[in-house]
Amino acid sequence: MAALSAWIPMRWPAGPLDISQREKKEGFTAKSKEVLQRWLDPSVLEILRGTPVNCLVVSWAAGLPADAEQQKALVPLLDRGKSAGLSFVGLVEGEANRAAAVESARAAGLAAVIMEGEVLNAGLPVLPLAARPHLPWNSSSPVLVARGNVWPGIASQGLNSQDWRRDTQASGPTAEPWIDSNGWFLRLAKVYAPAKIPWLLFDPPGGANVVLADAYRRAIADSGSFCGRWIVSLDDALRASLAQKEQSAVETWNSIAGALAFFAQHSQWETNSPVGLVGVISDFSGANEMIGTETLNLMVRSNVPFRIIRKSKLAAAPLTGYKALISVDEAMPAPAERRRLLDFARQGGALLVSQSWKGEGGTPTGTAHPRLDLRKLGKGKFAVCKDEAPDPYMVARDIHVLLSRANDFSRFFNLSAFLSAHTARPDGASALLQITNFAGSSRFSVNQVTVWFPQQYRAARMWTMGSEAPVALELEPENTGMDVQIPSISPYAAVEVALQPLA
Amino acid sequence: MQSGITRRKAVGSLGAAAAGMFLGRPARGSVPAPTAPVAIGKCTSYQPSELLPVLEDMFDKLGGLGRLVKGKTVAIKLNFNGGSTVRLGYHPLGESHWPHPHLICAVMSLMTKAGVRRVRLVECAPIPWTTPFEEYFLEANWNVRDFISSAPIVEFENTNYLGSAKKLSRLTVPNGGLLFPAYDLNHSYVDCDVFVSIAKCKDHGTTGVSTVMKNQFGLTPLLAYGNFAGKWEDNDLVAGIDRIRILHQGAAQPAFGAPAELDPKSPRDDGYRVPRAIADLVAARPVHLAITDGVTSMSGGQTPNPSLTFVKPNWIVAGTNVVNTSAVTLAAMNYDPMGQKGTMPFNRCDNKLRLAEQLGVGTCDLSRIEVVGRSIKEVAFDFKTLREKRPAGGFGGRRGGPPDGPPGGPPMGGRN
Repeated sequence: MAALSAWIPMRWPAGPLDISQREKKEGFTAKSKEVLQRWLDPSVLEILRGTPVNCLVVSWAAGLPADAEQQKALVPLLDRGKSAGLSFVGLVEGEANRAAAVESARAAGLAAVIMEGEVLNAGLPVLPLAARPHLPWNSSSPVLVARGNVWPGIASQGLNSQDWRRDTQASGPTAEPWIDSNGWFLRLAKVYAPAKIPWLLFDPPGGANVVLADAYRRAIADSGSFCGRWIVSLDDALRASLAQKEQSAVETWNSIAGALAFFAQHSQWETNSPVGLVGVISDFSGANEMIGTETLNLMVRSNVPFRIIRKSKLAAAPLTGYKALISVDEAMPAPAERRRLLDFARQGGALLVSQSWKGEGGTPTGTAHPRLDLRKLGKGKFAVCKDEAPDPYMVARDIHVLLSRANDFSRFFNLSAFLSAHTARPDGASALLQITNFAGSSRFSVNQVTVWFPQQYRAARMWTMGSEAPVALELEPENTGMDVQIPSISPYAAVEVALQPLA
Repeated sequence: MQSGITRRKAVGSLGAAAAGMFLGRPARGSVPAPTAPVAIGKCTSYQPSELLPVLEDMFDKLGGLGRLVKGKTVAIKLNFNGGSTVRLGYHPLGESHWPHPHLICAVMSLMTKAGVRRVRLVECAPIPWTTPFEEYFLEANWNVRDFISSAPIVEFENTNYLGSAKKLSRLTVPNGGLLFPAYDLNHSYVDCDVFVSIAKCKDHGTTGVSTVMKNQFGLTPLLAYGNFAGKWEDNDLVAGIDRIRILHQGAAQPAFGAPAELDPKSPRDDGYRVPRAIADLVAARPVHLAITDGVTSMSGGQTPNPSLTFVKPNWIVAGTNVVNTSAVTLAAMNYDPMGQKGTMPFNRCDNKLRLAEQLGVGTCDLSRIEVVGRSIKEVAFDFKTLREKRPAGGFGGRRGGPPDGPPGGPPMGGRN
């Protein structure tokens, strides 16, 4: 069996407990029930043969009458799976007696359990479960499991959904697609617990939604790009078809498995460091949780590279390498940190702060602005939010303007709905830009994408899910930097660029 | 000595006649529409070492830039049409649908050499008013420093908004106008001594071709003429990114106090309306220098999409009368500048050149236009045949095929 940190997890809903939990929910049908019964059959495990999935997450206890029946029903599946080298993890939820659930899991030979809270002397690994962003970062577990995640994709409704706005969708900057992503949380997790692996618990859209292979691949890429692992979860229709070995379902599953294998093969990318000239400072908790986490979410969405600075570490955090800082927590930092940030602005940085900083200095620039009191401070810019509760969407947009696109790490062409993760190798030898394209059908081609970098890169290559080897990309000098020409992004590409030839 | 006539009044009262200021010709009544020499230059790349001498020679043949710009404030209307992050294949914007930044900077440098006082770069950019216009250049991957260093004073104004003015400036169409009696525009279109239009030459579905005349359509601020004029998104971004509802379809009247159209019962067909709006605008806001970038471009449309074709005509056309210049440009594209509706490229629209000619702006009769420098025949690039070959009968069509060159010539897919 693989070590816990090497587990590639998949949700395996099957049996009486899943039926009991699901049958009370809208959209549950006789077919749903049939699928949940069918997936108890050990023969279905055959779909995992040759895939990187090595860990199955099964429903174990929820404090319901069906718990005991579930644990009994799972025995054949567990036996077959374990003999095939699979690890099983029991999901303990709801009002379940945790100690009893852990004991039964241990007795049944489960490799671990996922649950909220702690159990002393559990006798098997307990993977802590919590709603993001409240994971127990200091837990001894190498894996933390977050719930409350989103299905990555273009949201069905934009932030502003007035009728007049809908008419402009997919037509330009007034209709920026609203992409749901878990990237921001994974970025935060990497800061709070750099050595741990965050697992994300979420399901595909249910009901009548048809989930295409590319949607699954995007979900995997959204986690993989930001160093997390999605506990792969298939929709009812796909699971039903897979059990019947339908060709199209098998092809979809193979592409999902290929995506999982891709990120497993490139796990070394997780040692890369995020790059970015913008620093987001917050304690991301209490009164600041919403503004702090939403600012991260919107920064990811705006594709402006950024780094996270925990407020508790601000005093010692090096600020060299930053050109702009956001500090929109409700209260000002302690005096020493406050002075540090103001000095950052005086020395030429751009500092965007919450309303509580009002009166902290600087001279008005005289530039009218609906949301910011724009001031000059020393050589830099000092922007104080006018609203007590600033809109994180605007914070992300305004910091980009304050920073100026002159400082862009990259510029994208022929992409209309995408997220990017920009990192650098620890030795600085190369940079990696992972792009997930969320445009299912764009009026612009998703082929012939260009990414411009300000550096004079001499080598570029691209990995895509499903291909083992990278392909070399064409570079063209443009505007003092380099255009990197990408043949297609469907739905993901990882572009590595370097100043020297790549080995 | 004070003349008592402000710059604003001068523009408003002279109207189309101001187009002839550089020419010293009348433009009204039964007098034939004005004509002025149009220069054609052969240019095979955007290297400044090639652009500068070609442009300088062309301007010399037109009488020299000094007469036009010395000591003056010049507004240059850019041709930012079709999106700042959209490319035709891998081609940078300046190679396909925007005029090339090197060409604009070369023009600015030559103006500087000729003694220009200040250059203001103007365009209606669909970005929030709180975002400096320069950021739009950067988004398109243009180097702002190149522009700033090309003239003594360089200003950037997003003319979708009011800028430093308290209200939009009203420009009346001489002779009453064809679609609107007047247009409300950003102050920069009035607060300049010299107005320059630099545009790419492209095909255009609605009005046949898009060059220095069609560029004028973009003078109209979304604030007043945009699809959702009068509404705002996110407080500082005007809603809607084009003018379809008001100017193309006539489904609504302008907002922000701008004048209503002359005849609400006139056709709602964009092939009728848009050419008239353009003719109105070239009459209301006269162009003193028009420059068409035909070094590289694309055939089949004005906004990049995979069905369009990258082309390399290798020429620049410039003139002091925008209609004359447009006429010569069309001829260099192998189109008939006097063509009637129903003939290529005016398949489904009225001919905006003829409409502007009716307004007294300039002639589109090639027999009355002196061409200096290279001849039309020498440089002609056959946009017409490329367009006729398109499966859809003009627009759209072929996807994924190799880019075309001139008929019989090599493919033009490579970047330069």
